[in-house]
Amino acid sequence: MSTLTIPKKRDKAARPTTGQAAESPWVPAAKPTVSLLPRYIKEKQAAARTKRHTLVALGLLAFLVCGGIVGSYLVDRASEQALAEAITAKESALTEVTALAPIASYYDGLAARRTAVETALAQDVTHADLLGDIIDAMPSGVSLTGYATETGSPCSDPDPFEPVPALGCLNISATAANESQVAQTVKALAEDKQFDGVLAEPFVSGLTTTDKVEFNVSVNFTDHTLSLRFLSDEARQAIEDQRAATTDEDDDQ
Amino acid sequence: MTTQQKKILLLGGLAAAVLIASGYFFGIRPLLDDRASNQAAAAAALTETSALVRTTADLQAKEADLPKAKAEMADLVEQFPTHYEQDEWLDMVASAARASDVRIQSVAPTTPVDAATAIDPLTGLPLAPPVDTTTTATTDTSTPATATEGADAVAAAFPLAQSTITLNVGGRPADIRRFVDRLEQMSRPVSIDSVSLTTLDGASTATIIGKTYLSRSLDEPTRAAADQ
Repeated sequence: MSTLTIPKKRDKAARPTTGQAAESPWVPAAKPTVSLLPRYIKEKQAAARTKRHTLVALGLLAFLVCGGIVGSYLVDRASEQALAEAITAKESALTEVTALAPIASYYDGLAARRTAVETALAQDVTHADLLGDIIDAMPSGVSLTGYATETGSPCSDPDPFEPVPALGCLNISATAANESQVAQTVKALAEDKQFDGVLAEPFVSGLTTTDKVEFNVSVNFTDHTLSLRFLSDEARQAIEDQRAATTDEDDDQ
Repeated sequence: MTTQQKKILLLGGLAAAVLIASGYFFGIRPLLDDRASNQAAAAAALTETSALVRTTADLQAKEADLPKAKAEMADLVEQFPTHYEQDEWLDMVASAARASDVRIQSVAPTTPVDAATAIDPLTGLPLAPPVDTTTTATTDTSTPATATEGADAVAAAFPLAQSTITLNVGGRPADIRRFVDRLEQMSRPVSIDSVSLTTLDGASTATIIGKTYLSRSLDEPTRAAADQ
């Protein structure tokens, strides 16, 4: 026997929505919706919607662009600040250097004097040693009657094929008892080159025999006669090292 | 999509492009350029600052060493005084002659000439080397310029004057040699160019030609100026 059951009253929330399948044949199916708006209204609405969305997007974009500008501005301000600090530091350092300028000038002046002295006296010759060498080189019986130095112009070299580099020319006049003593003098002057390289290539330019023999000898003096006393320690050491190397080479030959 | 929507989207796209372009070219880019310029200027300033700091450190070290430099300058001034002071110089020469047992027959010094403009008799060239007037300070290029230009720069770079001296003395050759030695070793040395000696009847006379030098005065740095 069939019984008729009355469906329980359901909550509004439990009611099926439009389009949802009814749980029971008593619940009506969703109503079909139909837009009765004219097409041109629909198009207007769509256009309005698109316009709204576009404006929102443009607003968002404008916001982003403004954010970028503000960010760049802040970064620019920071760089300006850094520049200002760098300039302040530079001006401060410049002030200190300017304050110490008299010290710099003093050292510049001292260096200029040192260099000027070295330049002006680079060709300073120890004439006392040179004269001493000549006096010592005179053999017994030979008297020195004339001695004249000429710095800067070497004598005519007796060896035209391999002239010796010379600093100047020394002209000697002397008297001897005989020609043999003249030869001894020339030999003594020539041997000087073997010892310290001060004199080079003696040459008898004239010899007259009367009751005694009067003769003239010219001999070059080399840069070994330079005093080097006004040079800096480094420059002096460099020249002395060079001389030592040259002497070693001569010894080897 | 309707035609109107397409138009709106097209206009929106154009507006966006204009917005981005104007924001970049008129807002962001000038600021970025300015920032790059500031950074470059700051980097340059920092480089200059570090150079100046090094110069300062160097000058401070020199300031600490000033007594040594002054002693060196005093030595130089003793050999190359700022004024001729002939009385002292003649005393030195006379003393050298007495100690060497030679007799001074004549002394003829010339008035000093500025070595910066003098001609070297050996080379025929100016005694002073050419000076580059564009760089006068030897300490550091960032040091404030202290020297003047042109002729003044040459004079500043070559601050010597020279006086040629001709001495005639009599004595034995060995004594004359000692006298020449003493002349060279004087506290105000004579740089000898030539010695001519003649002996007649056992008596020798010598003509000695040389130079003595004066140096231009140098102002001492004052402590107050350095502390400014």
